[in-house]
Amino acid sequence: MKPLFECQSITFLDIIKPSTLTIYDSLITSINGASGSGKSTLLSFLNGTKSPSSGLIYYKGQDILDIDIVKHRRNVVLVEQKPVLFPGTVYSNLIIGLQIQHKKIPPENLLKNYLDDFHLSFSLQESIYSLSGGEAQRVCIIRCLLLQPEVLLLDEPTSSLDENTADHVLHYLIQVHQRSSMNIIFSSHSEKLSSKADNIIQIAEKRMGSSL
Amino acid sequence: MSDIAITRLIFAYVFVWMLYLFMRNRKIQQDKLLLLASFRMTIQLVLAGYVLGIILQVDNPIITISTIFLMEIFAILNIKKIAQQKLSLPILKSVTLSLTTGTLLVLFFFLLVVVNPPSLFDPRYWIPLAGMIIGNAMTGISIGLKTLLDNVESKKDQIQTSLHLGAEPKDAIGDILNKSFEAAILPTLNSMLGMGIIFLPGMMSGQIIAGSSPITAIRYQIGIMLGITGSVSLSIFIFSSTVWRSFFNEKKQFIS
Ligand SMILES: Nc1ncnc2c1ncn2[C@@H]1O[C@H](COP(=O)(O)OP(=O)(O)OP(=O)(O)O)[C@@H](O)[C@H]1O
Ligand SMILES: [Mg+2]
Repeated sequence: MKPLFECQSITFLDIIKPSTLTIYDSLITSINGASGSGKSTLLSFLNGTKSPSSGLIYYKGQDILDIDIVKHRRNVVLVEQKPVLFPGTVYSNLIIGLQIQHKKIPPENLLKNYLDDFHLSFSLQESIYSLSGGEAQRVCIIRCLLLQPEVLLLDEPTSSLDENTADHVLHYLIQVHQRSSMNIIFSSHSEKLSSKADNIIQIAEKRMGSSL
Repeated sequence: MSDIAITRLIFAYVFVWMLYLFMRNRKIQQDKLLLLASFRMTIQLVLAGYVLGIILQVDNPIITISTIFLMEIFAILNIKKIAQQKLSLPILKSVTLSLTTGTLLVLFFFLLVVVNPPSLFDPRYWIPLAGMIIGNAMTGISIGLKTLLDNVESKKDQIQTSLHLGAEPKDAIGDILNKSFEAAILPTLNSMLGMGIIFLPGMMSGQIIAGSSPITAIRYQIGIMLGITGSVSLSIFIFSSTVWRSFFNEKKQFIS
């Protein structure tokens, strides 16, 4: 198995004690741990929006400090735990990532298909202020899927979804992974969710370890 | 020009006193600030009057230029105070750079090219024009800075999300920068719009009261208005093209 991310004795303040772990290519990886254990923190290390207090992180063998960090973030896209939308419509929010990265905007019917796939019944012109938390979360996931990154990081992607919708979203992501070989790394504190992963990173007693 | 007698000037404070009573009555905050502001205005102007008198009399280029630098320093300190929060070192650097560069370039250009005074470093021209140019640039940067800090605070999630979506830091904060640029330049533009119709600007009124012909006064006013617009926009431009860096570290991470 080829390593995708290698973290070498990373620490973060007094929250994460020196931990060394590997996340492998072409697998679905789940990061598990209690609330406050550092799941979100680890995910932001991986896309370089935060840095560990000490230790090194390699992406495909390269120290991420040595690569153009914005380019890295475009390869490794993070769907945040708390959905953040920009004032405007669902449409403007779906395409904002593509605009930022100067990528081609797909036709509206394709975007509409995404909404259907995620069981979202509103129109593209819907104002974001009328969305529920779970709906906003799904819009954020689609926004990042459209970017077709090499790695998709999802921070508790199903935390505000009911069980059926959560299953459906996860199933959808697994399909994307199988179809397009997009790497998927998600955090969760639910056993049920992580049982779908090929590899589990467990954070316990301030240390991170891989089960593989 | 007839001088205003001191005893008569005291009557002008009637309006401050009225406003103070009104604020007290309605329990509007800042009634203390009103008193402090009027008090300081008086003391500062009296002092400025004496100091200006001396500077004009001495008429020494070194003194004139040092005075202008002192004005710059006071303006920077004032921006610091108006911000009502601790400014980080990079922000202070950006304020200093933009205010001094923006005002000095315009001031030199204005005096040497537009006004062309009979004696090159005549403080009679340099000091009052520097005062207007620095004062307006200071207000512009203050407004720009406040708008910027407020918006960065209220939109930090969006800045962070833009970074997650692969934005360059400058683009992640771009809308906010533009908004603060607008807010900073707007008062200057608005005052140009109303000038001469809705109000007569202070400098022009002063010149007319002092006996200049309105036509001369207007030439100066048009000149200074363009100078002010130039220095405000140049300062704000330098400010917004440097200040955004202070919100990110060298790893292009957002520091809030
Ligand atoms: N910049 C920081 N400075 C100090 N402490 C921080 C910083 N960032 C995060 N923390 C702390 O690190 C700990 C881990 O935070 P993190 O968000 O990674 O946890 P989490 O596992 O994602 O929790 P949850 O399941 O509730 O989302 C928290 O206690 C948080 O307060
Ligand atoms: Mg979290």
